[in-house]
Amino acid sequence: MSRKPITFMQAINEGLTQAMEKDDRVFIMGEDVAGGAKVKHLADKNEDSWGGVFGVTKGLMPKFGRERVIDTPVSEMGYMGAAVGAAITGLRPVPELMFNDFVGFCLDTILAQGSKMRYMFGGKAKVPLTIRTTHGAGASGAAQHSGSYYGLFASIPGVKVVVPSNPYDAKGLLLAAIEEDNIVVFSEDKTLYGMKGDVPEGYYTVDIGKATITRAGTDLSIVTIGKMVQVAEAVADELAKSDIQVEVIDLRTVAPWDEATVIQSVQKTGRLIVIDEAHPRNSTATDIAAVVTDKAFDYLDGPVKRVTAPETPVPFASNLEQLYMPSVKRVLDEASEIIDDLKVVKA
Amino acid sequence: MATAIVMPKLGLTMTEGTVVSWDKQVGDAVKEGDVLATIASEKLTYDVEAPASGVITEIVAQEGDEVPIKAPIGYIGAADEAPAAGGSAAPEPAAATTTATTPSAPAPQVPVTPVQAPAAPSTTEGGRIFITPLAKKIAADKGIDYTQIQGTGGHGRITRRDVANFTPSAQPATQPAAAAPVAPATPAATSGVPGYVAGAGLTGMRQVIAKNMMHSVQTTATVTLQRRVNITALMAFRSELKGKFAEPLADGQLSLTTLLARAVILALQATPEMNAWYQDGTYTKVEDVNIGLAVGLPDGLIVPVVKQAQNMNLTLLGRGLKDKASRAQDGKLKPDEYTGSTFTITNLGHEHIEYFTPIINSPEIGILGVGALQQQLVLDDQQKVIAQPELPLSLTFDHQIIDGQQAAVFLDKIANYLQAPYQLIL
Repeated sequence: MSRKPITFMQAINEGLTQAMEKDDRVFIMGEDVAGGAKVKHLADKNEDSWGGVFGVTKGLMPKFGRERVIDTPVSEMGYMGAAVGAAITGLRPVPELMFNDFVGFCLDTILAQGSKMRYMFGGKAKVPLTIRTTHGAGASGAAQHSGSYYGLFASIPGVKVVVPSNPYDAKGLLLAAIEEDNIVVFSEDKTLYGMKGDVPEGYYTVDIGKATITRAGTDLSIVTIGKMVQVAEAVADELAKSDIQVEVIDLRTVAPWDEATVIQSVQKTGRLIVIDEAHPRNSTATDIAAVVTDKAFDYLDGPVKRVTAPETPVPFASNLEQLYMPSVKRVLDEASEIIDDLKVVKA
Repeated sequence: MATAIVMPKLGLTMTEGTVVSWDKQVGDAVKEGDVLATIASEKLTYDVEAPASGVITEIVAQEGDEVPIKAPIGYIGAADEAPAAGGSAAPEPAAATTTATTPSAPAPQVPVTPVQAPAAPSTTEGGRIFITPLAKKIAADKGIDYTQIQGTGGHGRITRRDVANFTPSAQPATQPAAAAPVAPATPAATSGVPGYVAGAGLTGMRQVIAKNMMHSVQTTATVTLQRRVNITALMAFRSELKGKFAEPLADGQLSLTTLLARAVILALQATPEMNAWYQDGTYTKVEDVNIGLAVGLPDGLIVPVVKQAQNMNLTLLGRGLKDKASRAQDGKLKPDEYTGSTFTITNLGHEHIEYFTPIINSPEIGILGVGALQQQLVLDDQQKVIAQPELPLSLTFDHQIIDGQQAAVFLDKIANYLQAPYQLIL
């Protein structure tokens, strides 16, 4: 059945709706997720609620009621702790952390409690918790609202981390995350919310831990995360002009990332660039480079290049913010060591 | 592990550089960023800095040697590290590098032998061969002796494609390069005359100019169009503005050069096929107009470049041209300030030349030669004899890319801007 493309944000809203319809143990909580419902000045405008700071959960409170769409005080530690507790007692909470930069307030509940319970109780306790949060620069949100910390969550054993790059994946990965019996951090790039794409109307899941090859190629592999897929595709278009065939891999899941797909690609092309908007040190990109160098050493035809943000907070000024994020130009410059001779040979 | 000190690539078309002098010797302790040596590149000299801290363990390229870009000229290692294999504290002139002519040994008897002769891969200099894991594995599987292969990857590494493209040579690796006096990587270095090497016997900037000119002549199919442009209106425009804004306009923005450059930039924007490069079989139209201006120096010439000139008004353009020209005279240009031009203007008007046939600044498509202003007697509308200032222009273009009519239209566009000068400030 066909219908018009919907936005990334609508895809998540639709995923939440279908998860809540399917399983009445699923509930949402967070700051302003209902926000303003039944308030007179909104009702006068025929609006039911704000649905969170970006409007992602709009319409869910009127549909499912205040018991399943819970506005919390501005207390990340309080509601995240409640979510962990609810999860081990059998519910499937989907709390929202407004910006991933705020994780410090509630990290104890995730790191010291939630991520370890299944292990500490010998597998008898499950923690079916999906933490939705936002990351990403590009909206001039300044340093405290623009970071990309999925790698920080990914470094915690027992936590799975999902970073969708398009509306189809966003809905399918979200439904898979809610079905998952472990903590999943579902990190949404706030600058992708308006991105449109075809999304099936019905319930479906996209496998967690499985990358996807968005473009097949033989000369050079690029592994990317989230909105950096768009940069990788643009690089591939640019290099196609020089008859260089780039393979683009959308990682989809940052923890556990899909080693098999990445290594198979490197075995084919011999060359790898990792584009990641997060910081470069002790990060996902660095982890991928290390694992590939270890497991595919004899297949490498040059060093693994990483193109990332610099090791600084995100600048507020939009011109500096554009320089901060990996771009086509930066990829071509910073990875020229393994690109330029391909042009020569191909020519 | 030793860190290679490599010949830097300073420009789009640079393929090799000459070691002019070493500031350090084997055994000297150096800090990262210290100036180690001076090299002569495209038209200028340049300081090579230490890529790491340590001790100079080996110097592989002596003063006067020509070295391909990215090839090592020396090595830095730990204080107690022995020189890299094959080196010694007082290295003899290595077979792989060239002893160029020196002032005490005048030109003819020593033909310049290129460094990257097929039989002596630059990657072996210093005793180490850089080869990617994949290339090494493939070479081993196929039983190929990879020490014979010339690496083309990053830092001169041998890649899998180098192994795939390699044809084992019948000649032993130790054979001097005399049989193949010209490096395949620099086809422009040779002419049709057997044994002729462009720039041979010359040094420094003279040699670079010689090579560039020969390269251009051998790779372009040039035609030169010549015409005059009536610049009565331009001169009036100029004196009117000068009278009104003399003080703030002291930066050369109303010089004839600036006005002409502005006209050329506008014409290039309207003729994108002319604002382009044709190099190694690839024709690339360039979005930015990077205007080059030939500047004569006591010992040669250089073309400083004002980049993204299409975004500049007369004030910015005038300042840019003046600044670049004066720093070119002082030898203070950085490499990216004399590379990357998309079209060049050259002026012999000061020397009373009217027309000439400039050589294209390769890989560009065209070059505009400007002659000396001429006072011409012509008949006006009333059939009265009047004097009018006319500017002679010579446009050389590459007929491989552009045809005569297109070039004539382009030249006419420049003329139109000069004849209706208010367009220059719109």
